[in-house]
Formats: sequence, structure tokens, C-alpha cells
Amino acid sequence: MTMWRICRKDWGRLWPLITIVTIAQFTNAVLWLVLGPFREPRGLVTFAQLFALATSLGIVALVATVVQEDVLPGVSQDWLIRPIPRSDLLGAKLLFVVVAVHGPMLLADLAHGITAGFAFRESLAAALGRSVFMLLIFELPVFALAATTRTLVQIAAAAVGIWLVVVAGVIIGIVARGGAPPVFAASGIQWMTPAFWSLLALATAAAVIPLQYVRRATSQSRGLIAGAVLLAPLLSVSPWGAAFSVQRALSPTPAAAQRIAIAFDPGLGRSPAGPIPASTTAVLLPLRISGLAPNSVVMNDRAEVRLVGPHGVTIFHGRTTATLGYGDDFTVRTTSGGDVRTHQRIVLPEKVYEHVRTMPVHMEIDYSLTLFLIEAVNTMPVTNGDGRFSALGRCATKMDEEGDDIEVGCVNVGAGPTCIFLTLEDPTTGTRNPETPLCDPDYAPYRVHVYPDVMSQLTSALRFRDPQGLTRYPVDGLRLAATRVRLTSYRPVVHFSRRLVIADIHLSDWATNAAADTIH
Amino acid sequence: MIIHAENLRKRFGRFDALQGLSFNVPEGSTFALIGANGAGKSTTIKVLMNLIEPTSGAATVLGVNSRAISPRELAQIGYVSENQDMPGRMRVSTYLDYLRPFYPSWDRMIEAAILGQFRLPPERRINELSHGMRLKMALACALPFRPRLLVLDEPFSGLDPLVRDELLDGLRQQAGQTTILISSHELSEIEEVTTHIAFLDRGTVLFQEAMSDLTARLRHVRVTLEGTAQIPMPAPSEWLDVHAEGNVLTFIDTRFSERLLAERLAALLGSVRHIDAQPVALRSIYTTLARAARNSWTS
Repeated sequence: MTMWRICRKDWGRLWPLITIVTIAQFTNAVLWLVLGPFREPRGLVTFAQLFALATSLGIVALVATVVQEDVLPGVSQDWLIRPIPRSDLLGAKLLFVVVAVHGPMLLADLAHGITAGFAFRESLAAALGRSVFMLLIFELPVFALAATTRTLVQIAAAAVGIWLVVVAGVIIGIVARGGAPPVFAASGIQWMTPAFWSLLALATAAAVIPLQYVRRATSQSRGLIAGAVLLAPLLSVSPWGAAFSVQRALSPTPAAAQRIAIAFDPGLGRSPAGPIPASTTAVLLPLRISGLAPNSVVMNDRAEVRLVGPHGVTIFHGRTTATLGYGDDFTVRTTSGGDVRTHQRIVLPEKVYEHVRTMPVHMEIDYSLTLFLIEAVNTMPVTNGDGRFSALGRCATKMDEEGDDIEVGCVNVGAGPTCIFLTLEDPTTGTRNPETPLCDPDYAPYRVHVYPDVMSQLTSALRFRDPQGLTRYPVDGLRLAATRVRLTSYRPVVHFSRRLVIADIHLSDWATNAAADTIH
Repeated sequence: MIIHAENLRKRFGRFDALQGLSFNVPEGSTFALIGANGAGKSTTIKVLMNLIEPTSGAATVLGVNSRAISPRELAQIGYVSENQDMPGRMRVSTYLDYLRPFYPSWDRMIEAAILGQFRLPPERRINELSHGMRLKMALACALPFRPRLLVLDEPFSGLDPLVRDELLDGLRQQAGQTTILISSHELSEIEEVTTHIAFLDRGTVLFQEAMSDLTARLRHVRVTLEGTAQIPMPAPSEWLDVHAEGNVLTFIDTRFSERLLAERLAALLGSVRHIDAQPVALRSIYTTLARAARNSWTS
């Protein structure tokens, strides 16, 4: 009863803010619903993004205000000398957050999913997932911060301070690595950084909230928060190997990559050069990847190369690509399975290359790889297509304004697909255009879409006509009515490591043409 | 004893606010904690109310360790403080409505009577009330449930005389019905309701005593001598604030006995023309004892 009384008092005091935040949550859902799979009209996107941010701030304000209705730090608050059990006070505040914040959030997300054409059950699952996630990683930390402060201004100051410390920590980490970006950046395991931060925030909140409500130990609570903030940048300096080991352990089907091997394949010959960064030299190493299952993709998450000179001295040790980006090295895709031959691009600093070009070197490459297996193949008309696919969600197609691209947009209630390949095909002739990969790998063991709304979204443009006439596409605009968009989605099944050792190699044999010309 | 404090110590950084403070509050008494600013009155009350944790020592309130005071005890304790933060945006009536169910013994008749007596506007927001009205509001929230213990921390601070009188009226009605622990500078106001008193200085209790005993044993003595008055060296330890001017010697006798005083004066000063011994007001008791304590500290 006490809990209910406190909750009712807070409700009576904060109903204007509750109303505003509720309306904001529903408006946010409506905005993203209106924007649809193509995120149009474009002008509304920026407004929707700002509105989503404002809605989040409104939620922060509501959570913080309800906690600070009965301020915990200090000795002069009236409630402290009232016969109010602390457990009831905490329960009342949590109940308020669940009802006043998550009630509307759940309803808005559920309505959003159903209105977008998804079934009640999957809409509810996604809405519940988002709601629980938001509660655990966002609102409880805000709750804890509010429990250790007296005003919204203090919370804002604390939030800015926390942000500055975390950013400073990350920058110090980058400087300590000689300017290299965080090890997880632009990889499928980059989820670990926000997950670590979220777990840290949740653990801190789980410690601070009872500490404040039971003992009102504000100094210790603030110390815990400060400690957690100092720990936050820790993951950015942790080694890749350790993090990938965790990812390996989380593989859904660990045995799926047992037969996959990587070998040096000189018989493949040299490959023409692609664009390479200034002050670097690229080596295109011929490889044979064997033991692949049909309809599979192998992505190279990261490869580290070690070059050892004739006297056993390590000449170079670093990533095989100097640039930051996913799949710069190589990506292997096969429909029939078996062996695939490809070139791996290894970018070396020019000075290193100059040093080793005339001598044989011992080369070791440590690969961190992920095997994807096909999940579904779907097709749909190129214009006015509107399909509902289990792996992708609801997809639509249309011609772009210039008339040279087919735009494909998909929305899914909850998380979207990890990796899809799109192309235009003519089913009558079997011809297909080159595929467009749309892979933003996220190997997180959870599949939840949290921000800015409950729906994930992806778009891509498939070119079929070159206005300049320089490129000719197998499937062009002549038979559009018969043309279909083909969407092949893949899911990661196993993360694994391999080591390639080449005892004796002359890098100049495999340098790009441009580099080789300057050498020979 | 409704309150028993034993060797309480509280340290804030390098400042010792309480330095082994002990005292007892008998049930049914009106117990005044008196002391200068920084003597430790408010800290003591906050420790008793479990608002702050003592560094060492212990206290029991209503028979329960102060660290373990639960809603069961708080339902029997009324608390009023000059620094009490009540929810400013709530209206007077709304806040009373909110508080009422927390106290099983809440009496709406008392509530109505107090509201009427204090002329508290029910529809006014608490943060729109003046300081005095807010203290009245605090008292209005502390009395209707007939508290077994009423704790008042500097309740008259910064009040105009009219409001002070109104509050005192409210207090007088409670005296005898409930145990009152009060800390105050306004000694003249609390004098008539106080039954027991404790003098605090620098975090310790200099002494605690029933007011009746205290007023009985303290007298302001004015001795007129035949010749020029001189302060005896050494002066008796029970004489405080001793002054000599012309043929008059004045002092506060802290162990007053009419017969013993006459004998002692005769022995120390010789021919005494006249002795006048008057009861000492609480304010004078306080200032005399405080000055003596300060002198002993400095010496």
C-alpha cells in the first residue's frame, strides 16, 4: 500500500511531464512509421532524428525527476523522518518508471510494429525486447545517477563529466596505440564496446541503487560511479585476440568451420592493383580457401601479418590493411562450396616494403574469420514491390528519380539482417547483375533494435544503367517488367581463427603492378 | 528513558562535531539541548533520528538503536527542523492528505484544530509559504498523530515574535502529553516548558539536569559589604561570573544553600551588610555556564 501511495503522489505531481513524454514516444513512433522503408521525405529524417533525441532526453528528465521527488543525498528531506520503508520508496519509483515510461513505450512500439504490417506476436516480442533493454542499460543507470544527485542540473553536469572522461580515456587509448583506431572499430565484434559499457552501467546501477536506498551512502555510491567511469575505456585497450576468443565461444554452430583451411596458392598468379593509400604498398597474396560449405560466405574480420627477416628478426607486425574498414582484406563467397581462390590485399608501409623487397621473408598471418551460411533467398518486383520476408522484414522497391537505380528498402520489427547480397536478375534468361553486398556485421549474441525506434531499416540502390554509357549491365532497363530484385541473406554461424605460415616468400613477386613497376 | 545516548562521536573530515556525548531523556519530559552555534545540537538530533551515522558510540530512541530506527518508530516520532525540506510544489492540503495514511494514529480533529490555530492556507503551495508558516506546517505535520516523541531542532530560528508565540502555544499544549526534545537558542521562550536541560559545548554535554534542580541550586547573589569588596583568592569553585565593584560583590552560586552561603560569606569576606539571592533566568544560566566552560577550555 505504501508503495502505491508514493507512486500515486508522484503521478499526481508529474502528470504533465508524463503526458509530454508519452506524446513524444508515440509521435516518435509515428514519425519513423511515416518515413517508411525508404526514409522519405528526406527532410523529415533530420527532424525525426532530433525528435528521437529529444524524446530520449524527456525520458531521462522523467526518470530523474521522479527519483529526485524524494531526494536521497542530504539530511534535511522531509521524507527521511516519515514512516516510509525504503524498500517501498524504491519499489514505488521503479513501478513509476515501468508504468509511466515503459507502458507508453511498449504500446507505441507495439502499435508501430502492427501498423507497419508485422504480426502481433513479433511486434510484441520486439517491443518487449526494446523496453527491457532500455530499462536495463539506459533508465536504471539514469535512475542511479539521479539517486546520487539532488537536481537535474547536477545530473546534466555529471553526465557531461562522465562523457568527457570516457572520451578522454578512448583518446588516450588511441594515442597509446600510436594513433591506431580502437581494436574493435569497424568489425563485427564492435558490439562488445557498447555491451561492456552497458553491463558496466547496469552493474554500477545495481550496486548504487540499493546502496542509496538502503544506506544512503552517497559518497560510496559516487565513488562507485567514478570507478565505473574510469573502467569504461578499458575495453578499448584490450587485445583483439582476447575479445575474438569471447566471440568464438559465442558461436552459434562452433563445428561448422572445422574443414575450412587457408593456404598460400602461388598458382593463382598476380592480380591487378586496386586503389591503395599514399605512402603504402600493397601486396596481393594469392590464397586458396578450402573446405567451404555450399552457399557460404567467409569474412575476414581481422588479419595480422608478421614478417620475419633472414636472421629471425621481426621486420613488421601489424594489421594487413592500413585503412579502417570492414572487409578490406578479402571476402569469400561460394554457392557450390569446396575451394575458392582469391587474392588477399596486404598493405605495408612503404619503408617496410623497401626494406624487404629484395630479400626472402618468413610470413605469418593470423586470421580472425566468420563463416556465414545462407538464410533465405527472396525475390520481388523491381518497382512497386512490397514483400514480407522472414529474414528481412517488410521490403519495398521503386525506381529512383534519375531512372538508373532500383531502390530497395526494408524495415524489420526488431533487429535487421546482418548481411545481405542484392542484385537484379532476369528469371527468364537467368542473367544477373554483379551483387551488391550490404553487410554491416554485428555478431552480438542478442538481436534487439533500441534506437531511435523499435524498427531496423536498410536501403540500397541497384544500378542497372550507366547514364554515361561506360558500363553495360547484363540486366539493364530493357526488360524491367520481367526483372526481379534478388535478396540473399546470410547469418553468421561460427567465428574461428586460422594461421597461414609461408616459410619463404619474395613480396616483390606479389606486389601490385604499380608497386612492382617502380621496383623492377 | 525514551532517549539514551552513550559516548556519541561524530567526525566530519577533521572536525569533531561530537566528542563522546552522553545524555538521557526521561519519558514525558521536555528536554532542552542548549549550546552555542557549533556545540553539536543539530548533529546530535540528526544522529538520534538516523539522518547521519555516528562515527562511534550508540544511542537508543524509543528503545531501539538509532541506526535501526524503522517506520514503526518513525510513526511515533514527530520531527520539526528549521532546515526541513518539504516538497515545495505540493499544496498544504495535498501533503497532509499524502502523509495521513502513513500514521495509524493520525487524528483529523487535531489536524483541523492545528490548521485553524496556525491559519495555514490549505490550497497554498508549500514553497509559497513564509519561513514561519513553513515551520508551522512542519509542526502541523508532526502533531496530529499524537507522537510519543516530538523532536524540535531550532524551531524558533528566524521567527517573528508573533509566530514564535503561536508555535509556543502549540508546544505548550503538547507538553506533558508527549516527550519533547528541543534544541534552541531562544532560551527565554522554552524556559517555561522545559523540564530537563542539557548544556552542550564543543560536542560534549557539560551537564544535564532537571530544571527544578537547576533553578533551585543556581542563584544570582549580590553581597553588600561594610567595606570595599574584593574577590576572594581563590574564589570558591561553585561561584561563577564573580565581580566586585565598590562594596558590592556579585556572582552566580551554582550550589546555592541559604544557610551555607551566609556562613561561607562570613568566613571569606568578614562583615556582610546584606545578601540578596535571586533565581537565575535560563538565559543567564546558559551564558554563565557557557562562559565558564569557554574559560576552562582556553585555560
